[in-house]
Amino acid sequence: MTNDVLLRMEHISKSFPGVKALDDVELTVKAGTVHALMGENGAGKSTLMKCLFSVYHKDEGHIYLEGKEVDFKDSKEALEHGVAMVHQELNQALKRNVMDNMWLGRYPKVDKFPLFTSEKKMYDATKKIFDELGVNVDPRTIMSEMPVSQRQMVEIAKAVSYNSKVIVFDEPTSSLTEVEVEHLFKIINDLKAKGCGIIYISHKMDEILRISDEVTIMRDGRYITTKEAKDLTTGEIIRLMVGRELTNVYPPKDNVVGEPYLEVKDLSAEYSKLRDVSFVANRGEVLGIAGLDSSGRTELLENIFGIATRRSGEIYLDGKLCKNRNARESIKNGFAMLTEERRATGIFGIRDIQDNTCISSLDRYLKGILLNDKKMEEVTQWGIDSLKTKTPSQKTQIRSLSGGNQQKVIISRWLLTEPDVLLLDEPTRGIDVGAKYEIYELILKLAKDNKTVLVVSSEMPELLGICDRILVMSGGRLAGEVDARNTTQEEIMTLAAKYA
Amino acid sequence: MSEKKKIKLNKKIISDFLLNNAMFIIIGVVIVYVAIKRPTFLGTASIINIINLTAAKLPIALGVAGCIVLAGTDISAGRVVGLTAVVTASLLTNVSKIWPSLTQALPIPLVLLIVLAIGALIGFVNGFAVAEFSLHPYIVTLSTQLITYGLILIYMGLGTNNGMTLSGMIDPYKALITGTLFKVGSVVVPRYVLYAVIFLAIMWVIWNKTVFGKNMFAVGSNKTAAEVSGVNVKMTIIGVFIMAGIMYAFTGFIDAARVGSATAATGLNYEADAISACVIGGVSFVGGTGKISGVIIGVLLLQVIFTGLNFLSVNPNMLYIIKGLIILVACAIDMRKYLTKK
Amino acid sequence: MSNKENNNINETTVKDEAEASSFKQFRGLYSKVNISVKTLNIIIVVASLAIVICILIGLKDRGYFIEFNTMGGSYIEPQKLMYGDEISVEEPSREGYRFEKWALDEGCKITADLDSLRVDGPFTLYACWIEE
Repeated sequence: MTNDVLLRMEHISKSFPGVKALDDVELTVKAGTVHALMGENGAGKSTLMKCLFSVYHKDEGHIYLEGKEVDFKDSKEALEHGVAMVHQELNQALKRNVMDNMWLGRYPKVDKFPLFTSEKKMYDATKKIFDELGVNVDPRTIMSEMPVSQRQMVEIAKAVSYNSKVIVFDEPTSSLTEVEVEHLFKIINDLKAKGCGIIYISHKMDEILRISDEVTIMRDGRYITTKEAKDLTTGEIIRLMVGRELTNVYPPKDNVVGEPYLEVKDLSAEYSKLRDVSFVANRGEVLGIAGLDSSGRTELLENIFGIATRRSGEIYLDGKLCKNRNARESIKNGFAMLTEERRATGIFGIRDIQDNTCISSLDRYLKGILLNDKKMEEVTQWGIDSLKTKTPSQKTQIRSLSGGNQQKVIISRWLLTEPDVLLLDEPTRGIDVGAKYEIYELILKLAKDNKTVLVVSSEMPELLGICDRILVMSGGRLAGEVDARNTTQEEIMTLAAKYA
Repeated sequence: MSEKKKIKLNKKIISDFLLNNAMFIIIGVVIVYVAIKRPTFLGTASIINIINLTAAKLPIALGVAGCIVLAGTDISAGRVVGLTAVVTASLLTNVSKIWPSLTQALPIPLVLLIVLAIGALIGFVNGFAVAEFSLHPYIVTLSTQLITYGLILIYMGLGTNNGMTLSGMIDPYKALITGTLFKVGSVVVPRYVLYAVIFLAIMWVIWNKTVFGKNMFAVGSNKTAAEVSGVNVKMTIIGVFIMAGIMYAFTGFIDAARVGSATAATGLNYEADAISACVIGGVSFVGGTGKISGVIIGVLLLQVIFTGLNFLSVNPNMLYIIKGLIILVACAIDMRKYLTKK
Repeated sequence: MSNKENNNINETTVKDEAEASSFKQFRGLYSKVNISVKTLNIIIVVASLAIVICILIGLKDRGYFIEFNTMGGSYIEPQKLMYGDEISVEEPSREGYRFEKWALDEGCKITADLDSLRVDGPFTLYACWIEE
């Protein structure tokens, strides 16, 4: 059975300053089929979809819908031409009700008075669609009063209501219960029968294999291959997704792992998915933390450091209980934390290098009750020299430095607090290869100085290159622990999908 | 670079310069104009007068500046000055109508401590509300402004005073504030100029040489990063507002003697001038940046403009409009400095 | 997923990064402000001109009004005087009272010495009476 080609994207390229997000990518979706799009974080799936919807404007390439070339100028035009998307991060007006959200921008008008919206028409139309899809929601309910799973159903119904030919589902089951997932699959199959083309983006292997007809795999912004789902296994998919050469060079690993130092017991967070995480980290060890986005890696570090609300669990350093109720206490106990987004929560943009370096250790530079400028200048210079930070002077505003150098300044800030445990969240994100190497060297040096370093990273080669052991987080839980020297990326990916 | 590009670049440099310094250009123009029409504007008496007025308005500006560095504001400043001024005037007189049983003025140091406590208390209330409940400083200080005004009105109605102007303060107090510091020719420079200089120096030290000062800049620049870096954000915010309240109290304490009287209207809109001065002087609303030198320059320049307009007897009704436009220009220039090009 | 997309950015200057993402560098009171440099330039120029115009308008209608509150006595018209002028005004009259002096406050506690007093802004003089 051959289906007609509904959507064809070819030779799509998109660059941002410094990075090629999409490099000659293609995608073909046939009518009446479900086409899965797979790849790691950063593979380019979302970027490709955003190009389809003209949220981003592609640099090169062509898009053909039902054989005709299209070039939408924005997502509204895409919608009008029958291309719809159910977003992962729901774009909904939470204070309005279901009907308003469904018809945002295209309110049915009262026949006699075209300026007024017809609530009756809205209600009827909404009810009709919901009944067709078997969705059991009162169109007048306020969005914020519904659980996330129902909101997601509304989002799906909205996409369907546009009578779209091509519907993209981006991680649609992340908040759905099992029953709702079945319901969704039924809806998808109905859409298939009607001749729609479905693009399905998900990390959940078993779902992909169940629901899709074809699978396209992307890696590092490039198109790898398209295969029929019946010809694939989970292992195959993973291999195609991650199979990259280890091109990064890492410093020689010659740190010696010592005795247990940090013990985390049954750590659970109050406001995130983090549950019952327990592990031990040793002196002189580099402990990696892997996992998908929103698997709880950052939340784990934040809860250890005390900047997120803990529900239960204990932290022991060398057998001594550390309450770590807030950042100040944690610093006193010998912890340091490099946050994930340095621009949002790390740097004091408008202040200079010296202020950014000394801020966490100011008490050490007091002469009487006043600060000693000379001492602060000295330690800042030490930070610049030992980390090889490139800056015109100590008085330069930190925001004019490149990301890598900003990161180095923040690292030197923490080093000045003389910590025993360092929690690094994506320490090499947004940093060029040269600076990355320098940071790897630094991490290993810290380990050789008998410190305990925890590193969260989305780059598996990195973790495999510098860590001794790797914890794998999944869905807020600790899915497993592997020995970095003996494991493979596939093993980690499998663990990462365990509770996803 | 090609000729065309060079010209374009030069044009941009010039226009940037003109726009960023528009405030100073306007002030320069006003000074020149007034000097021509009324040469006495540049005379000794006039300059000393400007210095005196600048010194009187400096402490309140120094207080508000801290709040602005925190990326906030404090619009209760003027009324706190008013409250402390009327309390001072009512307690440092031998014929107090507000406290009829008080037949002799209280000791000066005691009164000073009382008003400092009042200022610190109001500052604490402001700071606590902002720090603990993350309420916007504008909302908090707006309500303290109104409440303080209410307190002033009540206070002025106590005893047998019935809201009338307070005056008749004791001589030792008046001498302390307005007594001669030194003379330039025949023109007197009063003592409160010295006090303003002392406050200036103390604030400079606090801003630049203390852990508290560094913390203040960190919180203003990036509150979350400050928290993660171990700064006690709550205490810093409360501290800044208390410090501001104390500066307002000093201003009120000085004002009562300087003007010679205090009414319920004392302090009205003082914060508008103070905040404008800070923005002109480079203490930006983006937070986390600012210099003490900028504050005094801002106060001085504003004072020069308005003294100049005063000399020319410009219709007082226009002054409010002009002040509003000045704030607008100052903010636009400020935003232009920190704007990210999209 | 979308903001992790730029995971493998190779380093360039911060300016480019800022253009690539839509992260707001504005903070503090300006954090929600969305205004272009062009608009600001226009505001600065227009407002500056407005200031100059207002000063000129204010100069056309120069002068400070000195009001005379006779506290129950005969009406005295306000005078429009310039900065630095002396004040000269006739004594008001009031049935059953003798005029004592002018004061700067209603309570007659701050005497206004018309010989040394010079105009430096708008204010009101209050008449003080002694019962006869």
